[in-house]
Amino acid sequence: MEPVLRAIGCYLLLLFVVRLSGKRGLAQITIFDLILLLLISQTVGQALIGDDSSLTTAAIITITLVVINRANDTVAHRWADMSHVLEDAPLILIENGVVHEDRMAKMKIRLDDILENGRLDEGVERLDQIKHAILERSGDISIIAKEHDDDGQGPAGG
Amino acid sequence: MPGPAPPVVDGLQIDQALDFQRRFARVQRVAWRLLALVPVAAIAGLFGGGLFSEVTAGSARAGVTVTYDRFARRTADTKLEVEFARPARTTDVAISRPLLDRYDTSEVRPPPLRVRTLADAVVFTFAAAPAGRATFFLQPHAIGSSRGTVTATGGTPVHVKQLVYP
Repeated sequence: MEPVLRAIGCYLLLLFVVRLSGKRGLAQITIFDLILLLLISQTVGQALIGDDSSLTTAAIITITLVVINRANDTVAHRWADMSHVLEDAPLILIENGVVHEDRMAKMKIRLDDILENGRLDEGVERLDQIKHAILERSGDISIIAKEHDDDGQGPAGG
Repeated sequence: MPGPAPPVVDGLQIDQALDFQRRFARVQRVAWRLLALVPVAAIAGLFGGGLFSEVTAGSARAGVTVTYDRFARRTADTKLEVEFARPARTTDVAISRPLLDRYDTSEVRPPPLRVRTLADAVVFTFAAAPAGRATFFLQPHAIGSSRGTVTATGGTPVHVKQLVYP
């Protein structure tokens, strides 16, 4: 029974802390996020296994985690409210060229971040070329450039 | 239907759930403050082994004082220090079974001359130590409140209570 409780405890702990840490969370990994990720996995890994490194325990914990995750997905799929609680909702940061500064301040996102994503994803050179910028649930910022909208096509590849 | 179709905002079909996001932002602000308190509480000793975590019980009348952590964590070492008010040639320290059975004893310093297990207590007999003190290094293996008594030869029982976290 103990490995199951440990797995549930660790899962809930991480869900709680990661969800409350804000939507940028660990989706866009900077070098410090990577260090944090390594440290957290090391720390929680110890608590997850304890001093029992048997294959049976590893199997129980792995299966328990996968089952909880599946349950989590099912709940989020069935109830929209729970989906928001567990997985958050997207947020428009630039709407038709208008920058929502209050939202960006709350989400700790700078214009630099948006422009960087614009360059990476859409080859955007300046802010005025961005029609929409959306902070997605994953923490990624998706950019829709003005040109793409004008010719009525979706974003071109490359 | 896998959920309702998201509304169209300025040409974008997107469900921002802005009301939810506003409410959740409030929850996050409160939660952040609570999370920030966790390391402070840990330093203070709320989770065992901090600045104010030690408590001393006992008196001259009990013949013994017991110093221990108010809080401990399962499988993490914790210390129970027993100081004898009247060091004699030998001193018996009886720790009640309901207390001691919830711990693994990793070490007793100085090593006792003799250990007897009774129905309701374990009695450790110590030779007269210069400092008149014995230290038990314990590892809790039961979660929750651990209560019991420590009694020295000729003294009254000293009540010990420790909360063990998972």
